[in-house]
Amino acid sequence: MNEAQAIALATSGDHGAYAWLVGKYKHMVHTACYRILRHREEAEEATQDSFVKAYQNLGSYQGGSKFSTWLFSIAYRTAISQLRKRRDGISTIDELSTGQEPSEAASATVEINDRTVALNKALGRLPAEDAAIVSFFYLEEMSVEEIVTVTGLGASNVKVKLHRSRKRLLEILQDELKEEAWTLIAD
Amino acid sequence: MDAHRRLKEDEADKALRELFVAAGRVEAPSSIDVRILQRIALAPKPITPEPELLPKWVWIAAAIAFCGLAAFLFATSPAATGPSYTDKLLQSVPEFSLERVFTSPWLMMTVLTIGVLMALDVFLARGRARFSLL
Repeated sequence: MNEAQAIALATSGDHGAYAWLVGKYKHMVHTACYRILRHREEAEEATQDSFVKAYQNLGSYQGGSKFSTWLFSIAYRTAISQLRKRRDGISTIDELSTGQEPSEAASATVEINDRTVALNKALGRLPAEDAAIVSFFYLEEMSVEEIVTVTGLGASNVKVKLHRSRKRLLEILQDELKEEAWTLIAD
Repeated sequence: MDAHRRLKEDEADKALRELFVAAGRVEAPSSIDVRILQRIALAPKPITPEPELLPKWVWIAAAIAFCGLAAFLFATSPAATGPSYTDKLLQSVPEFSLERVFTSPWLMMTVLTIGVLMALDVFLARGRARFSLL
């Protein structure tokens, strides 16, 4: 089954086809919700809500943009609305910044984990919206135009947010990792 | 200077992209599929919006044309002293008595037929909605 077939079948009410789409995009949607909400249970709830909303509105998906972009825009709005309800824009101590310390892993794994923890800490210090935007750009490899479609922000606003967030991320990573490469890039 | 800055930005983008990819996505719990599908099973079937009868721009053009014509008819008159186009238009409408219209059996039948057809439409729409939920 390909994506277009799955969308067509799911639109006609085929739950199996929609399960295929959920399986394909659940981690992407969950990551986006988690970057915004920074709380596992809330991100899970937002992920579920996003997929239910997407299912109910499948008929309005015209295929003008990628399905992932359309789905991300629903997830982004759902998570932002949940965040606004919580009224906690930037949390200082949250799950993202704590991370999990490696115990007795090989040195390579420790290094990767250190970097992951450092990245999570850095993302935790950015405003929720900005953390989601940099994640869309660097992890999901979305273009600025796609981020504009997902977030509903203006292109110049997205570019400014990306520029500021990159600068901030590099500063934090430089402090956290104390690696020469990051120092050279961040300077 | 700009070229140097651009190089730095490109390096930063590359390094950050590698870092994001290495860190990967935050995995959703394995049970989330089941929970989503349970909720989907209770949700109504996706609604497919009906295609538009006419594109929006046609409606807008028709409205502008109608308003323009109305404005022209009301504003202009063939001669300064003569009757306006509107007066002429009204003069061409035959006189009729409201009393005769409202007591006409044709009008009664028309109103009754409209009522029956609208009730039938509501009944059929409800039946279709119920059928689509099954």
